[in-house]
Amino acid sequence: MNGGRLFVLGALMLLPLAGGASAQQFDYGRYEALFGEPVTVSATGKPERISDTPVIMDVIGADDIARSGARDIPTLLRRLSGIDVAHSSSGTAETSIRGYQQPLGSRVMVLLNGRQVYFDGFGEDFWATLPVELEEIRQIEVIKGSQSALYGFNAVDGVINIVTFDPVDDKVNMARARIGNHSRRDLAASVTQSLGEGAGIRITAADDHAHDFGIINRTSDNMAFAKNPNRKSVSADAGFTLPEGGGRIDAEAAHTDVTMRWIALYPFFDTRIKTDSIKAGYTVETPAGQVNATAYYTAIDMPWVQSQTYGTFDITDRIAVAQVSDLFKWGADDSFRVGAEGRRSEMAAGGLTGGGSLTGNQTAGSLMWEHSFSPAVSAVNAVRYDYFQLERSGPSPLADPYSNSDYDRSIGGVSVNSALITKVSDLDSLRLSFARGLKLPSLSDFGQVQTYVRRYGGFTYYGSPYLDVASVYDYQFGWERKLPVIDATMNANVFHEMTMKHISSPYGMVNGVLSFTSGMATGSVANGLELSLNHKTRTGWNWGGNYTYERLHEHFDWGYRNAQPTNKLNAHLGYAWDVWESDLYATYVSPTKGIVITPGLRPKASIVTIKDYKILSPRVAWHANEFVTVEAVAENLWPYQDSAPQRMETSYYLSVKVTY
Amino acid sequence: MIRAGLVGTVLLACLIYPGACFATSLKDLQIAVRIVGFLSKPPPVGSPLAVFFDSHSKDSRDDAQNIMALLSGDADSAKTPLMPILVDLHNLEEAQGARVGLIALSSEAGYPAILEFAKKNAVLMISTDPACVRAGICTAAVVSAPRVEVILSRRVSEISDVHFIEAFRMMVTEY
Repeated sequence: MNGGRLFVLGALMLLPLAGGASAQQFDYGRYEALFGEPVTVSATGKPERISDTPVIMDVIGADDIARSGARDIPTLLRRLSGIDVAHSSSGTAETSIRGYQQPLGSRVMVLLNGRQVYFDGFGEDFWATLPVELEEIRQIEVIKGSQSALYGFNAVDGVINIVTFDPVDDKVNMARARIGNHSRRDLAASVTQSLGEGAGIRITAADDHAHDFGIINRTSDNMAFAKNPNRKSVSADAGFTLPEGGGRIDAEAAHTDVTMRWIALYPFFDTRIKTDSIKAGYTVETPAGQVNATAYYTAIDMPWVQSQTYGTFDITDRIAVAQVSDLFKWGADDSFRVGAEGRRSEMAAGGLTGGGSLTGNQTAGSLMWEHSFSPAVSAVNAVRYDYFQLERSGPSPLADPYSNSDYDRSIGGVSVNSALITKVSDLDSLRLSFARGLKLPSLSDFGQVQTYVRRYGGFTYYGSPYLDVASVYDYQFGWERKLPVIDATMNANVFHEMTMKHISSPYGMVNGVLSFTSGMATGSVANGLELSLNHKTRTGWNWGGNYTYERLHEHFDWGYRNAQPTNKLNAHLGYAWDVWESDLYATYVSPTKGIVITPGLRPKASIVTIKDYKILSPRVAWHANEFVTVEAVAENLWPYQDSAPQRMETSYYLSVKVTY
Repeated sequence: MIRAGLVGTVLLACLIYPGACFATSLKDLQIAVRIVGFLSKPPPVGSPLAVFFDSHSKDSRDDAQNIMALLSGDADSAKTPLMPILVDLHNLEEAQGARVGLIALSSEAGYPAILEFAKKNAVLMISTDPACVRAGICTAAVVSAPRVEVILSRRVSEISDVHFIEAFRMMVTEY
């Protein structure tokens, strides 16, 4: 440690900001080749091997994706233990980690190469708007449990970080065409081009189309709304290594244009979502450690939202984020990461916010300390302070009980993570962790002002600027054991999570009554067990499975317990030989309950049982030569229903992919 | 029965020819070559990679030849952008210009000379014997089984002015 490091440490601590983890600037490929296993920076903010991280996480690698037969990321995620997926339409899915499935105010932070794709306006992860094709993905990192101390507000149940291949070192050159029933017609292509020594760019474009299906909510004239899930995406990802240790610059730009039907509880929305994003990062080795500065800007435009409940309106959302961090090792056993982050999120919606704009300005400072007690025992501690300022500008509707000055509020909070790993033998590792996370209400929770159409009561719904953050306490224990005899790895995790308060959303059911306002009330406790056993190879037999048991206890009936399956089972069996691969994925999910809302001047809500269901998805792939692969997939052989308003029907498709 | 016989034969061979059982493996070498890329100032492409051996030890000579064969550039080799050269520990002048050295096994007699050479010429000294790092002679040791491990000596790193990038240091064991 030298004076330079102390200076940087001190200077960053003085900043009123502090930051989250970025991913793409880390050379995943070279480290993975060296250590022979996946590596990550997402788990604690410092680079580490998956087998060394004290955090309980799953990694879906590129080989897993290639053998999955999946078309989208939620399909991959639902095959992990502890992950629940419920479709809100044929083309959209809500994903949760260890319960708390809900269409608004998601508790999972989704990142693409460290860039937040979580939509602050609603607190929603719109998967279809992600500008990434599965072939570009190096790994999907799923970190379970509260991660606010690293990622800030809203990462209270976990983080899903999608890491793509490096455009400098990894060549992704492919073209793919897919056809199937429901008029499916998907096209995608990706080209990687070297831009000289240490520099490269990857450009990817995709156009997906299918006909909507499976809608159960057929109330009145609503079918006229139904939109097909179409998606257009183009993205560019570039890296430039500067000579003589000058560091590396990363740049990304993307545009997606999506139409979809989306359901918040039971009523549905049809919408078009246009997303534009740009990101730049710079990483350099200095005497003070590895310094990274990243900035990104995301513009989300919904030029029209046709809603059953609200009529038609539009939304714009702008998110600008700047982050800086310094990562350094002090002595032989201690690593530190000091971070600062500034964020501005602005949502304007003619109809949704009564003609005004809501702005959230957030600053944060964070510190991570990892100590290695011995090669077999290490612990990480992280703390982050977030400070959020809310503002409202523009006209207020006459009926709004709040004036713009009511929105001049600030909220602060401290998040904490502590985790420990001990390798009790060459085969066994134990992980223990505690975390305190913070959930910030979405901008629409704070300031949504909308009047329901007459068929849905004609009430005016108000958010509340006086909402507060909700704290979540998370305790986990994990045991990992390698089984060399069968070349497999077994994991057993137990967790206990306490949510101190919940934030109600419009058309939520609270204690059996339909909620028409934002508010906060008593919390809940979730307890669960996850077991998994996996054997992965590129040739021969490939198999695995996992089981999740979870119970939720609510102090108030928020509907989370109803939406939570108690038992979930996944299994996979595959075999690869010569130029052929065959795989079979099976899922069982126990019954849940959902809400059905009947329109009327006094809308009625009732609870319906969603029966248990089984998903069976086989695939066969034939590698015609080193360039061409033909794949046939049945996405689910039996139709099933994983939410009240949507039925998932069998999808068959055939794809041809050329890689070069 | 057959398996037990094979194990017995191997053990007997090890007793008669110890060098045959303690040779640097291909995987060890692949790791050793890869860690060079994580130096804060990697050596230029084509610069010498010195394979140090003790000419007074048959085991050391044999392992050095084994290392050279594995670095030869065949499909199954440990590929390196550096130029491997054999250097006798009793004639270290031959290693002038090298910024990376691989130490053959059974070269313990030459450790003091290796350390002096590394200090004087800022050479990254890599061994497959962790004891070399613990003894404060080598900068780095690599182990490929049962798990890949890289062990660094902070003291040797400092005195020989050989430094790895921060992210790499966080993923290895340091003494």
